[in-house]
Amino acid sequence: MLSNYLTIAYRSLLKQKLYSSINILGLAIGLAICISMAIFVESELGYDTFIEDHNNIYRTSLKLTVPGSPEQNFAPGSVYNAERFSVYFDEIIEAARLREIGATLGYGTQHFSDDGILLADSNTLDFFSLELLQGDSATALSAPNSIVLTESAAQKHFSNQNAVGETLILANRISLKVTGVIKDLPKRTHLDVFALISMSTAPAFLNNPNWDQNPSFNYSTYFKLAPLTDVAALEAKIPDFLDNHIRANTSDSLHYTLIPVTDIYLKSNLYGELKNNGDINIVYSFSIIAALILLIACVNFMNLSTATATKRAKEVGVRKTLGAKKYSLIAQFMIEAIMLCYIALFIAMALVEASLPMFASFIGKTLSFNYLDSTLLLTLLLLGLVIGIISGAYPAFYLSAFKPAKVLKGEVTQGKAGALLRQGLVVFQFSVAIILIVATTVASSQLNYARNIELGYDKSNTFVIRGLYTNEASSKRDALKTQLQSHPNIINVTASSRFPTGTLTDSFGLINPITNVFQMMPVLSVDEDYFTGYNINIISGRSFSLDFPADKYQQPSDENPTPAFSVVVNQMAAKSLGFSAQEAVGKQFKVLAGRHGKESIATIVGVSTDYYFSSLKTEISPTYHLLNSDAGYSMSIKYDKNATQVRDFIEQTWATLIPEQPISLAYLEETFEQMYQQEDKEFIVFNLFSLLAIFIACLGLFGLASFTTQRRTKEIGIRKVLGASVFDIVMLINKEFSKQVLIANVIAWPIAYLIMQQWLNNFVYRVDLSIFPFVLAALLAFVIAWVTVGSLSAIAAKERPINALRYE
Amino acid sequence: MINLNNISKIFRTESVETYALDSVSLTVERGEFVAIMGQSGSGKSTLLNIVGMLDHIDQGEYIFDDKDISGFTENKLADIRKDNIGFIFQSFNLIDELTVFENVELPLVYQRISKKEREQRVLAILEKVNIAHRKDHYPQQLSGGQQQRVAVGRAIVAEQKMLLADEPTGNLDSKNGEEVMQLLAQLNREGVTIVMVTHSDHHANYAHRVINVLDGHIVSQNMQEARSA
Repeated sequence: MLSNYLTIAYRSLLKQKLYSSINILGLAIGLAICISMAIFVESELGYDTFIEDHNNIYRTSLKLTVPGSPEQNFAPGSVYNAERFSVYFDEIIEAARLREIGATLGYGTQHFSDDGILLADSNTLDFFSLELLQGDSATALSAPNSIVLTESAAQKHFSNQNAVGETLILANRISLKVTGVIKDLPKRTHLDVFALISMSTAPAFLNNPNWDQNPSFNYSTYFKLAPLTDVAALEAKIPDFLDNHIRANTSDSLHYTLIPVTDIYLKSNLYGELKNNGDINIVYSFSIIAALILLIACVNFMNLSTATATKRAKEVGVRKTLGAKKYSLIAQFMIEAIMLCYIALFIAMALVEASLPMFASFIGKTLSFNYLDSTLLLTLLLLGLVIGIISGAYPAFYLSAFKPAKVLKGEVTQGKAGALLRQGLVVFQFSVAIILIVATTVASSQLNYARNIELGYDKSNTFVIRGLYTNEASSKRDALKTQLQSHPNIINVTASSRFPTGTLTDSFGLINPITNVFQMMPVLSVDEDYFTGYNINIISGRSFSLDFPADKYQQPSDENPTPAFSVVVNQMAAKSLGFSAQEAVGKQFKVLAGRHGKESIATIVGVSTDYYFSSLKTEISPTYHLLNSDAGYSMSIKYDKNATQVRDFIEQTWATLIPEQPISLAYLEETFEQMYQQEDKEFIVFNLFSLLAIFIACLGLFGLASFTTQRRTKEIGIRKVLGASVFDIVMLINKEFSKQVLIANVIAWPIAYLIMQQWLNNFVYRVDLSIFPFVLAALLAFVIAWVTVGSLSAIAAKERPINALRYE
Repeated sequence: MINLNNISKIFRTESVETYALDSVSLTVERGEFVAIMGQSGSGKSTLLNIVGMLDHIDQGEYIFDDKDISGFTENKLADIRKDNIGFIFQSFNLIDELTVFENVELPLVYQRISKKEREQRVLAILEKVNIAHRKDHYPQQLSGGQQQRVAVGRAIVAEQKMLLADEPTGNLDSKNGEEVMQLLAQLNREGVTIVMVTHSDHHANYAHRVINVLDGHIVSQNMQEARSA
């Protein structure tokens, strides 16, 4: 019997090549996307589970809220949290700190600037279950000037030689002894480790014997908690601890929370993460869209199967006449559906195999599809079976319910319930398609807005150099600037603590001159050429100038305990201080190094326009600028033409002046693009999926339109005999589908509105959600429906009417 | 009105070519009532479909109202049909989803006639074919005879000059069949040209001329005194 079913299924498949191809193609694309997404999602899950006791390990996250400033969130915490928290809270069994230092490492004339060079507490290896290949884990990170290399680092610096016992130079000035080699960390970790340097090296590296006494917020701090600790209760105790054991009222501005180490990768995207983390929302949205695509493909399958059902009616009638029971017919059609599913599944697997490397490279992930893995294979086979059963159920029940006496006379009746279900399926497909069209249109206009917004500064024709904070580079900063300015194509060189597209993380406290209330405000150190170099407008007062020696920032000192200096504030800062741009010029306020720090007097000499220093996801901060070229950790070079020549000149000048440190040079426009690179990629993937979803929905609509025109063949024939034109027939059939598209719009609009409103809330500066994307989606949906249905009904209408009446 | 010259209709499959009609010539004058008779498969329905422009000819010439329409497109043929020819089928071919009124109204809709005029004309026709009392019913709620009366009404509502009937009584009992034939005879007397395919000698007696078709050829044509209604 089974072989008979399979034979019939095979022949029926061949007989209806068009429908079978559409059916299989739609399902194969849906499955391929679903499998690709499952591979992607799987690769994003299970991070940091290699750490023993990962269930009890948490990292602190810090939210900084200060009146007058936007909220800021940091992954690193204060340097002394590890020790002080551990002493105070019994729940904390052990703590470990990591600090990214971004310095060069090498020896002789070979110095490399690698990510993942971290200061690490002595217990780090055991704490994070890092596998030591050489050395002693108990002591490897204890002594000052010790370094533990990963295998990659050891290979890079020492090739195949034994690294342990060798010496490396940190930042061109500190000798480190290699005390161990660890295995490279697994890919699925939020930790970015190339080499670990003992924390006891920090005083030498930071040139500060009291490095751990000031509140330096640069240390990612991890706690191992006692099993079954109530984490929420522990978090609730932190504010009291801060106020009573750190400083009074600290909890007003510092808010610590604990995040499980296994959640960091997907759920923590704060300033100062050890590496770029994933995003749980991407995992969710990709999963949902993949599931939707698969669902649409299944819906198609049902629609197309029922569309072809009338052609199988006679077979059902004959089988029933010959004694076939309903269940055996159900089984037959189910088997056919499952067979089609498996064909689609194999095509999908081939599609995934072919496209995965491209997809993986595009999203910057390492993804692999090992379909020979028995668990995966079993899962896929089970998936095929389940989809076959789900998709085949309706057609199977529909077909098997045909009454033999009627179908043998050629009367295939269509139940109202079946018609309603099919209409419901079309409404569902179109609702999804409309939501996707709205989503892609809104996302596209938001990303366009971000690209084309008036930034308030000029990012064109600008190179930026990072890493001018090292002793070697900072000592040559002025010389570098002078030499670069000598090039005829370089029109401006300016050094600043950070450059636009970065994050403003430095804040000084100040006393509001009107309210006398303490407030924090982000601060940016610049030189006298900053505003000119970036073409930032000064709307009142003036910019910094060397002609005014009093402009220069000075720290309080024994000789000058209350120094005075000038500041240029942006409009928001002026507003935050209680002034208009015009009023602000000439006003003074007190600057405090810390809450109880020494006072300096700042005089506002100019007010600049507000400019978008960071991503549009971050609110423009009230900011004040200091004339402090000593903190010029980055440099931007504006040129008028000959970019390549200028670049060569910058590189040569750097190599001559600072040979011991590799240059870190980039185009500002590129770093700007990088801020949105991930979003761009997600957007492209999302767009691609949306297009595929719409395409598959079109296939389904094609199936249903075909079903409708088949069902109405006789009616079309009669109408034509009575004088209907092709246009009349096309309008007749389109009218039926237009109603469904209309209902789909009614359902989809509010859903799309809610989803996109939520998405736009991620952006501080965003487009307004207008009616346009909705109207566009509706129009597109109607056009898609009309073209798909119209073309089919036109073909049917062009047939000679006698063919339609013969059909009867 | 109709002049078919040596027309042939060929049905082809992969291996066989069958002449459904083979070099048939036929003339139908305005106001005539012609009955086409023949065994099943003889080609009589094919001949009727060709006369009605529902099917195309493979060879020969078709002159309709002095115009050679052999090479006309489907759209042009549809226009001629719409203005000149009404159809009645054995299986009535009413649209199940439309009421009696709406079925009869349909040809007028396609002629873009105003709603008000449509209503008047449809009601008049429904009275004429004696089915006005069922105007809001759906076809499946009517008897076969009633359905065929609706079909006749639909066929003449646009005041077509010619009525083609393919075994109009084939699905009806004798009483209802007789009623339909009398209706056709009456229409013929009012000037409508009628070409009818029938198996029934009795019903063929209503025609002025009986054409016998066998194996795709017209084998005889007999003029006769038409039976009066």
